[in-house]
Amino acid sequence: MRQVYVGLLGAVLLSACATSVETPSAFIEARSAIEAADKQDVRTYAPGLLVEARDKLKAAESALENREVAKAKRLSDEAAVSIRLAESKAKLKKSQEAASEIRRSNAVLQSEISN
Amino acid sequence: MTILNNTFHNFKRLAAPLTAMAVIAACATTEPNPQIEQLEKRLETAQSNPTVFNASPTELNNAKARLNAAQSAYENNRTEKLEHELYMIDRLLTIAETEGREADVRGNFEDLRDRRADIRLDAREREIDRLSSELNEYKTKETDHGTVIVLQDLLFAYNKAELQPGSVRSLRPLANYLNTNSGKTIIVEGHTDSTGSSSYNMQLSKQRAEAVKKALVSMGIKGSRISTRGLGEDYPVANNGTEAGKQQNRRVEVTIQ
Repeated sequence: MRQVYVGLLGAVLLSACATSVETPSAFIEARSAIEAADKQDVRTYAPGLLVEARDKLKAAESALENREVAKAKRLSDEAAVSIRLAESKAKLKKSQEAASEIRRSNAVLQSEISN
Repeated sequence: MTILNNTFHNFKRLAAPLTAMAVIAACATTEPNPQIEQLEKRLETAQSNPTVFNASPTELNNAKARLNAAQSAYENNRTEKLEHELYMIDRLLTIAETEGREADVRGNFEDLRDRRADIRLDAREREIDRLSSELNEYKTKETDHGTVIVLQDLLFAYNKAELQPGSVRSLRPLANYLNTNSGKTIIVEGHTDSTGSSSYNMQLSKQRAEAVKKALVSMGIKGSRISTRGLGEDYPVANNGTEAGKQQNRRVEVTIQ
């Protein structure tokens, strides 16, 4: 009887090990933020940060597989903040281009009028 | 910390109050973390810049909270946690700084766009001035019916109603004026000298007015804006007895309405 109990206990522990840890919401949020940001502007203007965010997310995934939940959450937050920065950088570059374009065309217009 | 802890153990045997003092001393002498200090300065700078602050209040608040977390991780020797917080704070501050710069650039863009509208308006005013002065190239007279342009030096082939090329060119300023002032219509009136029969001159003057219309239409003016009349020899402006007078009488008058 005692042996049966031990066996059952072992089975319960094994099945506990087999279930994966719950995916933190930070991971899911970071993943969808990267998917949403992975567009032409970010690829063109902030490719380095896009790669970094993807790498962080990959590392978070490995951490999850190793059941290191706290580490996975940290890496997910780092991925999310990196992709957010990538979007900001891309937006800045676009605005800068628009401003220099209009500055240039104003100069052309001005010189056409002066002549 | 380790050295201080050893000291702490030695004192423990001696007296509890001394131990308490040692612990206080240990906390007080924790060296400030230069990375945290640097990030604190960046946060301060960002918060004191209204553009940066308004662009990313959430990021700055988040950074501020994380600075406390970083300090506590540092004091508790939680290296991984400290590294994480430092990374997050740096990123959050960079986002705020970037968004602040973007807001400045966008403001600059809007100024430039306003400037562009001013340049265009200025250009249009200058163009109108230029065209008005182009009309000044013609001999004009003001009448009850409007401004009348007298085209005296138009050259027609003798006995014909076709404008010579040089005279077509002299209509260019008028065409420019009509293009800019699309609400204006004109009446083109032909006049002749007294050579030849009255009915022939009537017909010739009408044909010459038509020739002017044709030239203006070829420069893009709608025919519906131009009416023509032949007035023959009945309205001389000079003596038909001299060659110079005849030349003055052979003319086309354009009334702008």
